[in-house]
Amino acid sequence: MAKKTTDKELIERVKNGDKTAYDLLVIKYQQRIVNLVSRFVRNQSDALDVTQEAFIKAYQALPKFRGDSAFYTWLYRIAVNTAKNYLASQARKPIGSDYDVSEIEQIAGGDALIEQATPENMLMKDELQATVLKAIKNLPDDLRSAIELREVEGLSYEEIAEVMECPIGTVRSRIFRAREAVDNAMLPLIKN
Amino acid sequence: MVNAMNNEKISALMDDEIDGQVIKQLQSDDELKSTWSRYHLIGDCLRDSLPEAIDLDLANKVRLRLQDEAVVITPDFSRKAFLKPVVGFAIAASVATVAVFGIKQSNQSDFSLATGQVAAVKMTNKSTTAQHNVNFEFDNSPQYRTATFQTDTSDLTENHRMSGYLINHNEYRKNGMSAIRPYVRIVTIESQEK
Repeated sequence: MAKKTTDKELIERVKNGDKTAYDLLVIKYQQRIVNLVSRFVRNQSDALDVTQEAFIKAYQALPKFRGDSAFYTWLYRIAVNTAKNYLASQARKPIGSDYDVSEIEQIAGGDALIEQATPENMLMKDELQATVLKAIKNLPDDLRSAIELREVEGLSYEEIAEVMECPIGTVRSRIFRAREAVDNAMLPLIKN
Repeated sequence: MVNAMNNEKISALMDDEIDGQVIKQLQSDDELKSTWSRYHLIGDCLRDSLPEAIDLDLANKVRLRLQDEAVVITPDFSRKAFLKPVVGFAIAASVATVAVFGIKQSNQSDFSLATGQVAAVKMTNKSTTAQHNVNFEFDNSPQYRTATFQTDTSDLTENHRMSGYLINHNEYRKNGMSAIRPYVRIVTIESQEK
């Protein structure tokens, strides 16, 4: 097992001036952060902007990150604060001509009228989920169990090896093969 | 074949099950980076943590915005942490050196006291004398012990030597041994002209 987590390794690289390492962290956490911010900022376009802002703020604050908590926990707090600040700034805006309909809905809390997502995005999510779940369902039992234990239950390779009564190398291989199979099923959708 | 091998490494890397050597390769290879992105997307999908709107270009937008940002360079805290005990040791060594030289100087005075066993000291010196009561408190003894001695009142340097000795003695004995409590007034002098 690796002594240092991948996040720590990436953060260390960013702190040493390697900006591209931060890119990998953004790719890793982008969907989770958008999902989190969307709970506060209902307008999806704004949620994406707030997410970008949160990642920029996290980058700027990275020298202060001492690694006492997990990077995601730290990023989570930044994202929540950024979303709250955004809502506060929207609430402070005087009622005037520079409001558009979606902003008024946002501030007034008119959930029924809030734009949840564009139809294309909704389709994308639904289609993606359906494709991935179908691909998982079609996997052999050992591959499906391995990837579910890892991704859903969050077990380490060592723990999965214990549960599945097989060597760690086999776990690693099973998880990789499961990902490859799902990726192959998902790839045409993403490329389109 | 090479791709499959690299993808397996990426898979292990995202699970923290491989060391970071593959990161450099990942950073420089767009194909591997896409794999990294899609593998994480699969995980997000299985955990049902996908947002309603999936913007696959989000990371690129952040990257473009970061181009204007200054590069983050942070001092290595681990090196600082390494220096801390060294600096502490240097300070402790300096204090110890000062204490040793102080004791050496006080040993050059006319009198000497047996360390740790001072209960009473009696000194008589020259013609004009004064009686001095010296109060000591030891950690292992709740009672004050009194040392009475007579010395030359005209020779004030003697008093200074005594004070110096007691202070040095106090510092020396602090080192893991019972010590004179620093907050107790350690010397009182009552002059009684004979």
